[in-house]
Amino acid sequence: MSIELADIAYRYTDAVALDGIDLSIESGELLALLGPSGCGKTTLLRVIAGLEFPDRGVVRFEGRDVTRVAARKRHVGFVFQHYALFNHLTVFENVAFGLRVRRFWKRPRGAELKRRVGDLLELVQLGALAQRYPAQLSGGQRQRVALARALAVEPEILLLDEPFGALDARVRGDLRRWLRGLHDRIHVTSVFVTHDQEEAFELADRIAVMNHGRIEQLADPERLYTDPASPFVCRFLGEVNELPPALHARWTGVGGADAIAFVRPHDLELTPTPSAAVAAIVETVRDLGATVRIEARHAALQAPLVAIHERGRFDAGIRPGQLVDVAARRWVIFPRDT
Amino acid sequence: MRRRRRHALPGFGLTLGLSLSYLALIVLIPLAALVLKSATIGPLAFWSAATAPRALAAYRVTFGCAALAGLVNLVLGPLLAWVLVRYRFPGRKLIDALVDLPFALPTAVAGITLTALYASNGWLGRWIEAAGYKIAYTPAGITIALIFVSLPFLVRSVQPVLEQLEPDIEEAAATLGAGRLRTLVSVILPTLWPAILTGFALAFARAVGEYGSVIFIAGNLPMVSEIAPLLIVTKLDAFDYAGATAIAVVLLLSSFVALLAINLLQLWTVRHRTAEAR
Amino acid sequence: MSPARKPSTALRDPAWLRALLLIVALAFVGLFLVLPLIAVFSYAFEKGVALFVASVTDSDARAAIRLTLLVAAISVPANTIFGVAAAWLITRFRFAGKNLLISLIDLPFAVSPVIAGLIYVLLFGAQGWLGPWLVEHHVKIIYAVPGIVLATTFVTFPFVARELIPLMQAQGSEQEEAALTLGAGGWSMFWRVVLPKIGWGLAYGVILCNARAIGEFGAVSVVSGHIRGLTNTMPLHVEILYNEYNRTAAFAVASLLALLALATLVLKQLAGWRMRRSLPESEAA
Repeated sequence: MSIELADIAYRYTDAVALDGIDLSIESGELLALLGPSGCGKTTLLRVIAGLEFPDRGVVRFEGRDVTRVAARKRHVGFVFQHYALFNHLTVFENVAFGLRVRRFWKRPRGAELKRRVGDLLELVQLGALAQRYPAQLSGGQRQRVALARALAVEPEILLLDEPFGALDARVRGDLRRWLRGLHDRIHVTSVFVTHDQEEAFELADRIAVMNHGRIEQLADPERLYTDPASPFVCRFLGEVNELPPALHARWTGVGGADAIAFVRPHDLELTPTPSAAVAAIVETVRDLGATVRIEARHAALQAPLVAIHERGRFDAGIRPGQLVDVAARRWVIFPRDT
Repeated sequence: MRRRRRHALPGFGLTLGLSLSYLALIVLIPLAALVLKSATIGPLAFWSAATAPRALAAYRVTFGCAALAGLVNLVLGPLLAWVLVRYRFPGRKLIDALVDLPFALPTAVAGITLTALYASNGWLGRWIEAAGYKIAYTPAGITIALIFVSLPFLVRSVQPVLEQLEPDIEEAAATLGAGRLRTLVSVILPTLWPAILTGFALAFARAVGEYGSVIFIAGNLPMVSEIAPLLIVTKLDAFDYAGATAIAVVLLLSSFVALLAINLLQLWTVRHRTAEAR
Repeated sequence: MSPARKPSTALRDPAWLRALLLIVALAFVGLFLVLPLIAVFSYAFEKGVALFVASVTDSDARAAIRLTLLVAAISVPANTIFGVAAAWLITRFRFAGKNLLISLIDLPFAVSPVIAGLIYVLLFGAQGWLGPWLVEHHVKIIYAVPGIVLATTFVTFPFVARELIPLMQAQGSEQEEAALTLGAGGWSMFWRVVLPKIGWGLAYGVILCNARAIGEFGAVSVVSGHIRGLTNTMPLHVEILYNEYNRTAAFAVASLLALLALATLVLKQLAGWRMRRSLPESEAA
């Protein structure tokens, strides 16, 4: 089931949440909406689900206009950040809910119902906990119940709102891998919201980076990293050095007072040099095991330069106080933003 | 130019319609009758009815006794709340539940019971009269009844604040050398003031309108121990709708003023004491 | 909402202060709460059990009990439905005038019961707005049961709404939204998700509403006309008996009401405790 969003706009009384979003999601794809809080990603997800109705624009599922269709008729599975499990129902009943509320003639009965719910619980590895109540489960278990519940109605679109946001780090990692595995098996078109860049990179086929209600860039993870479309995307995806022309013009060949070179720490090369002309001074050198993190100061910059070298690359051994020459293997140029 | 947005959750139209029609039927239309009546009386007649000597005496009795009862509870209510929250003793939970008795007990039952207790041959009355005082059938009796009625307000408004109080400030006061009593008065009491005042205003608003608990123990003598609500009933019985309305409006206004004071107080609290408003 | 950490024992009030405060508090409670409670039952059985039974089973008493129950049976469910509808409206939707609506719901608490009765007399009484029309159509509201029902409904109508609004506000609407995405329709969602969520809060509100509906005196006194056997509720019956110097009978009926009050207190504690347990804070992830 493909999803198409055209010119979606949504306004709160005093703020714009979505500012004209165009997005095409392919059938079977796992797409991440990535951005800082307040960028509109959750609102966009809820618009797709039918939990919010946009002020303007069209939502299409497989070409069919569903913009004004109620949530209950859209056949989407939604997994909430805080699970939204029905606390008064057992795990089994939670998962069975979507099947029980169907119209009379479409409802699976007795044994059939048990089988389907049982299969789903096995899928999320919670078969043994079917008779427990949500209050008796851990966060990770609850999230899996929420997922099973959403899948029970065989949705053609799966939407997840910061699904692992409320869990601690170790559980998060396990569940991420598990979700990716699940998606590879089931191939449901899935969209998930996250503010965690690492999570988006690990899980998604493509990522839509959002900011202030707009999509800054839509691309697969590698492309986003190597070919960012804007300074925002660049900064959001990880640490980045921003070099003024004074530092980079030599090797980028790009002049003009406004051209800022964005260089990732892994791509920054600091080599010891005797000449003080355009050199930076090493401040700290931290051994991180497989890599070494070097921070150096340059007069033209307020923030320190950060470089990450592979250990063994520097036979000379860079020490604090040393003068180093600044160069880069790879960079992107953006005009200075005001 | 925005289209009115649809609600994702169902039931807006239904609940709006139901709520508004119910409100209109039960509350607004009857209240409109009151407003209409006051308007048709004419300002002069209204004023003379509202400020007639008997009415003025009734206000004195009503507001006076309500204020006095409020003051008694102002001292004893928070004290009771303190004891319930901070001390442990057998029967604590029972007494905590009992504090709500004036809310749960029908006012007429409270009325006749208090009267029986404080009348000259009552369990308490006989001791009081032996000492030369009289409570039943006097404004003192009204005050006693209103103490009963407003007791829960001044306990229940303070209790949650006490329960949420972090011990930090008390511990700080102790380390700075303040004795316990000093701490209670200079440190804890100020944090409780907004809640106490809120409780007082709520109690006052309730006491002013109280009827059932009071009319048995009051003497109901005009100009001496007649409360305003009783005056309203008396005028109604005499078909003096205009007089009844005038006095009712005065009572309503005083209740609204009390409630307005509460709202303003709460706004002030949030603005100036945001640390406490957790 | 969990209680704060208690001060350390190093900060306990000195023993003399504790004793003093405790004695004052207990004396206060004893004098104003416990004593009246004991008195009601004591006076009720003053002249023996036989008289007690006779007082609560004579025809006027039975009529009063029937009427009281009838009035409660009408006004409590009506106010419950309204309360649920208003709470849903206020906590789940944004619209202009919401604060006004909330203030209007609180209105009866600011109004003296006598005034509550007065407004219905002004509307439906013989000299009221609609008086002549009613007389013409032989409809009796004032001095008849409908008036009593209306006045009682007015006085008790905030209780359920006021309990549900903060509860539903705190609970949030995520479960309802989840139910929607799973395909549940409006009523399905209401019965399967909303009602179970608010169950105990609803019970609490109904208990309070019921206690007040049965015990209401001032408002009913104004509209009822005190017609024995016809328009007397239990509280009014108590008043009549007392004013006739039939003290024991009055207390006999009053003790039934006091019993109800005690039951209310017990049920209230129970429902309140269960309600607090159903709030989100109690489900730590």
